[in-house]
Amino acid sequence: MVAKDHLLASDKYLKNNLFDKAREEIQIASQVDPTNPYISAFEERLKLFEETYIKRHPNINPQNAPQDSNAMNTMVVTQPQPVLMMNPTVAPPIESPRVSSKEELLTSTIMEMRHQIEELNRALNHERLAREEIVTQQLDASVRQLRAALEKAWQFGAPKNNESEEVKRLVRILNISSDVETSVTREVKLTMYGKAVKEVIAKRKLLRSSSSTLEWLRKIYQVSINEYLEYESHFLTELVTSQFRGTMLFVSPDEKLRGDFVPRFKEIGFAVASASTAEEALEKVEKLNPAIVLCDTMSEKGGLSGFKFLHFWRTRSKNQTVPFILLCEPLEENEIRASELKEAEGFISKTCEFDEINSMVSEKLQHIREYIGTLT
Amino acid sequence: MGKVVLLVDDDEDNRELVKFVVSRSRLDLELVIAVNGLDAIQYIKIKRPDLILMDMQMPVMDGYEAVSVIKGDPLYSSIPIVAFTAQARPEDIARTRSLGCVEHYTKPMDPEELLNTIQKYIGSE
Repeated sequence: MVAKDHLLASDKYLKNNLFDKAREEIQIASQVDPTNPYISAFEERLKLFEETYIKRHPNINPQNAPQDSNAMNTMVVTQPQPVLMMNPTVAPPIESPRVSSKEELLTSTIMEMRHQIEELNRALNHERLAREEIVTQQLDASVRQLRAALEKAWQFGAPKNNESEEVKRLVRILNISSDVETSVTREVKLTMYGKAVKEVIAKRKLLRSSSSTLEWLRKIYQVSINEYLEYESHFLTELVTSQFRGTMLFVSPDEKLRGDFVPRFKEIGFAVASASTAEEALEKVEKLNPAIVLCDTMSEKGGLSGFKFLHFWRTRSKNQTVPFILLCEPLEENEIRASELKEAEGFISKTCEFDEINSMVSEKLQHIREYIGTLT
Repeated sequence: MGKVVLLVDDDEDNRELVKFVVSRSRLDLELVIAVNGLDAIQYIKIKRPDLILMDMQMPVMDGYEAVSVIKGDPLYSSIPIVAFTAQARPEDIARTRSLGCVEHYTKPMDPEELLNTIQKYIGSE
């Protein structure tokens, strides 16, 4: 063995607190190669380790030190590295404040790493969500495209062979799964069938038999009996709701407004009584019990305004479950919002589209239906 | 090339319903519209239809007169005309037959029956 091997063996003994063995190895190294420049460094190192050990374990003779590297745990962190890898002139002091400082540094480093890992996780999660969103959007776009193609193909019934082929080709291009294709196709088929049924129902007076026509349509759209039965309840609900919706009192001095809205409310199932003034409306109220009132806030010069009509309306207890909607000017909205309208009352700008006004009408009627339902 | 069917009817709802039925038949035919007898006569001079569905009660020129004109013109007399009418009394049927109508189809219509009638005269698959 050369001196270097003995010094390495010495280092190993040092780490296990076997100071005598370490000393022996250094001595052998010194005999083998007295000129080795590291021998004195190892001697100093041995001394330092022994002193440190005595300080930390004052009641234990270093000759009897346990051969357990765990006993040197603290030193493991701070003890000098093997001599061959370090500057032999620099031996790190082993002092508890320094240990504490290093622990703090370690803790701080760990915290920083944790923070970085959390940041990284957040970024990865964000990226995953973004990717999922893109996939969802791509799928949505593909399904929209498929739906449009299917609606065209099913517009007049089950598609012809060439139309079916065209749809199949699109499905392949869009890489849509067969499950999605089947589901969308069924949905489109029933939708188109539903539209056709509604058209037929609307023209049933011109048909010899509604039932045989519906049966004919069922075949045209290749709707199975099961699908038909499943669809029937949905269809009947729509059919019923599109029928008579009650009596509406429409009050406005504006002939154009009445002309625009009254026929449209009639079309969707309301029996509409219109009045150009609140006074005329009051007369009509005596003869009919409206299910809902739509009243313009404006009035003819000298006449009762919509607000006054509303106040009068409220005085009758039986009217409390009748929705009353004020049709106002856009500038009046804030003023009305600040006023204390009751549950059944509402307001909407008369510049709104018919669908928006009708939506409010439906909402109010639904609300009243639910309220009445709680009373019975 | 699709066959051409000329529908002559002044009632928009009826026209829409026939359009609805024909479009769903997937028959290879083109449905063209005239709103009275005179309109129909003007149309057939531009494009000869393969079949005419003729309402009989119409303003301007009714179906009876229009059928007479068409059947009286050797150029168009071979075009099959189906009387398409709500009048269902035996004398009504006899009258349309006597004018040269190949069939008397009585409204209200039955989609399958109407399509069968159309197919019978245009021979479309």
